[in-house]
Amino acid sequence: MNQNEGLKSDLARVRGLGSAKSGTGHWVGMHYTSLALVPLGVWFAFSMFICIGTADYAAARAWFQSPINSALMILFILVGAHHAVSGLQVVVEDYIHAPFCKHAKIIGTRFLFAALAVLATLSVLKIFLGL
Amino acid sequence: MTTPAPQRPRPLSPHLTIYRPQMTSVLSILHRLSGVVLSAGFVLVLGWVVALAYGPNAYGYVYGFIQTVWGKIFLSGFAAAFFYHLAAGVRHLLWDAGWGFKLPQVYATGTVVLVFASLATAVVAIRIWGLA
Repeated sequence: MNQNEGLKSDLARVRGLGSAKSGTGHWVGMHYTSLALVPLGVWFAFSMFICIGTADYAAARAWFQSPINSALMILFILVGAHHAVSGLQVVVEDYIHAPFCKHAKIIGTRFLFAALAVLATLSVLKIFLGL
Repeated sequence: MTTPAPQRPRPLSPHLTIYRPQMTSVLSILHRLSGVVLSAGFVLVLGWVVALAYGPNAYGYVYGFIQTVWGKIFLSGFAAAFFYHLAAGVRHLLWDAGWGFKLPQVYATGTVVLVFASLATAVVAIRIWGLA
């Protein structure tokens, strides 16, 4: 390492190194999931709009008996979880700068949403199969 | 041997509290805010599905809460966040496609987003609160 490195500002140290080479994947992921969530989100909101106030236990279970509803719901869960995790990651990166805290929050969010998405997907399957 | 002078805080560029709120900045912040709100709402939706799979008792708690005033306030809030984030998200997709960067377009699409979100939220809120 250059002896003068310690005197350089952060900007001078990274200037000329190019990009971090990792931003495009995140952008593409957000782009695709948001495209998919336009119809999926509208479908979900519309379904809930019809159900609000009338979806007691039996009615809600019956709704999941339709393979289309169950399939779209699983898609909504998986795509939505991916989108939420990517979005929250940006928020964490923007406001939390301590490296440990930042990575702990990003990894924690990912684990939480992955676990919940799997749990909810299994729940949809369980209801669909009438178990 | 001299100890290095304690580092004073680096200068910051003017931040949110300095600038006068403008439609561009306020809509941008609302998009992020509604996204965070929707992430929490999404977790609750997953909880609703899990409760439905678990059985009538677990579902009863969720269903009971939805019927309360607080439940209706939460649902209305999530509806507002959803419709705003949906419309603003489509606006972002248009920007990604390279369209809509001229200042009059930015204000026009911003107005469309606000009007759509307000109307859609109003329709859903009327349904939630049982006025129609």
